[in-house]
Amino acid sequence: MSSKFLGESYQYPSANRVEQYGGDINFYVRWERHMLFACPAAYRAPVALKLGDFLETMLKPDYAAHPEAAQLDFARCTWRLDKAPWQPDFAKTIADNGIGHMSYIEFSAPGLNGLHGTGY
Amino acid sequence: MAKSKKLGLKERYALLTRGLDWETSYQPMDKVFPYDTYEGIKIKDWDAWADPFRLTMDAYWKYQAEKERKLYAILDAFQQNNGQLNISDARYMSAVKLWLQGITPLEYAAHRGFAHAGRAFRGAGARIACQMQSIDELRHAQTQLHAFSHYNKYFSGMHGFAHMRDRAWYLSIPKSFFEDAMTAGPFEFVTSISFAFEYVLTNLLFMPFVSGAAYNGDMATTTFGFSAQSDESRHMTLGLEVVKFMLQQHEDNVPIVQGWLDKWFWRGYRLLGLVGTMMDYMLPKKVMCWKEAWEIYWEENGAALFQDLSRYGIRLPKHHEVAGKEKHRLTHEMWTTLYQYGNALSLHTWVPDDEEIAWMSEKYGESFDRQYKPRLLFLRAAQERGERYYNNRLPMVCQVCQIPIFYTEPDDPTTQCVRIVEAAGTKHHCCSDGCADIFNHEPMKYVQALIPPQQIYRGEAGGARDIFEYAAWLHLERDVDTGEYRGSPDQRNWQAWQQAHRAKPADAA
Repeated sequence: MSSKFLGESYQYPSANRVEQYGGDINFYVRWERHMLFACPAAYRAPVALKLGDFLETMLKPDYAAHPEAAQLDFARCTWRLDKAPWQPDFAKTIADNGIGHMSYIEFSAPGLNGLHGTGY
Repeated sequence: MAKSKKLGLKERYALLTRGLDWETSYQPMDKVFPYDTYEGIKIKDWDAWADPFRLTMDAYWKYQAEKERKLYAILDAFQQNNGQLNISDARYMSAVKLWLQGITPLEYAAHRGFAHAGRAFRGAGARIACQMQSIDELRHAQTQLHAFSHYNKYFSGMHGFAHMRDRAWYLSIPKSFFEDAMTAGPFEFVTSISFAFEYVLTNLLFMPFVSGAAYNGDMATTTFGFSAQSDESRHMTLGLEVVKFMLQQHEDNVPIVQGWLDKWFWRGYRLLGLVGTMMDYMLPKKVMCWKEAWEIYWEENGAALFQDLSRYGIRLPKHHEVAGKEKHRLTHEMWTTLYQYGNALSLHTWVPDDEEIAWMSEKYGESFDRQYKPRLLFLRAAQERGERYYNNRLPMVCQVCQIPIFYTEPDDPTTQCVRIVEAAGTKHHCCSDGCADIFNHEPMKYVQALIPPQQIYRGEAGGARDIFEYAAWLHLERDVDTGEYRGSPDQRNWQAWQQAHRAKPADAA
């Protein structure tokens, strides 16, 4: 299906292309059942950054306000990349883990189900 | 000399609409009016267009001038009598700020959109109806600005609505709604704005705002609302007329119109989440809750309307049942999101007080007590410890409705609903099946969308590197225009004015 239009064609590039990020990429992360963080979060990071470094230095500080954040152990989490099961290697880079521009990462931490178990 | 005979309404209308129209001869009509055919809508007889109001331009000017005189007389009195002191509470101003920033620019956009649609239709009846609505919308934008301008002298966050309109993340929600409509063809435009928005959903927009204003002592807005009311009923009539006209003209129009109703019901519903949140959270004196409003104005009235249209082969819009599932949680999810991104909002947020939480328990019942009340109490406790919660990380945003992706799965209120769509070699994200459908129907339209967090990360928001630099780029002063209500200058001023007002000796008899 496509838009109806007047003129020759109606083809456009995405307004958010990887070339616009100077070697970085834009991707998204959600901690399942922790809706204190209302939305999956948006990140811009260099593809050569080690995934473990991203998780510890960029992602984890964002979760400081949650009482369960201190118990968060990424090694014990279950991961999905673009909704498919995924086994990350924290010692490898973002690129080598297969994370691409506009990728969407979800993870859940066993036993951590949000405040009062309500997913918050 | 024969005595001049006064023309009847019908005759007058015919002379001043169809009578002023002509068939072009230097250029073919299809070249003069290229926009009213490319959408695929087939019109056999433009003269079948009927305008129940039969309003002519001369009468229009007369009525509108009379309304303006009355409106401005009341606004003058409101200002001279310090009307700002009569509102229920300074928290109410968040509703006015949201309207000024988000909805008033839509009135102006509607003015532009109807001017374009009026030029695009070859039928004189439709052209004139669009012309009048275009002028109405310009008047509404102006009168709203004039009504609100008095508040700008006393409250923060109202100084830069025009600057913010093209920059603020939460204002891209209403902005993208209208720009989607304005960049469609004229038939889709009038279906989206006149029918889906003004006819089907209008009660959910004006009822909370204008009744809410009256309940909360805001005479300026209430007066504006009354002044716009007769225009709105004319707009609703145009909306219904245009849809029935398309459906009656050709059976091939039915699936096209159904597709637009599916799309614009969903887009309009998504936009109304902001208004519902205004009702439940921003009005210190509540009118009714979002759930009640949805049940009355959509589930009862909207369903009756679609029952009426079923004779043309029109069914209820797709995904309407999802809206029904969301009615218990929509506003709670929206408010806790606004609350946490408060560092980049030009209005204040807060945790409701005990009385308001009890009202929500009564209105929303068990699901509120189980899911959302604990969240509000958690946020309150954090604030009381001096750790008022803000989320300063940019969110994922829906590629279609541009709302941050916080709405939850239709059948699971503990998981945000994320849909991945792909076009132009890139993945994009949508907040719902409704928005994903809209994207997949016209991917080349929506891949062009400018999504605020992505713009920030690309360096296109004045080079802002974090949410505070971004707020400064919006011309917002931290904790004055933005952030928590409690402790804000708005709250401190309000308390001082109330004390001064009470301390004033009573006038001598």
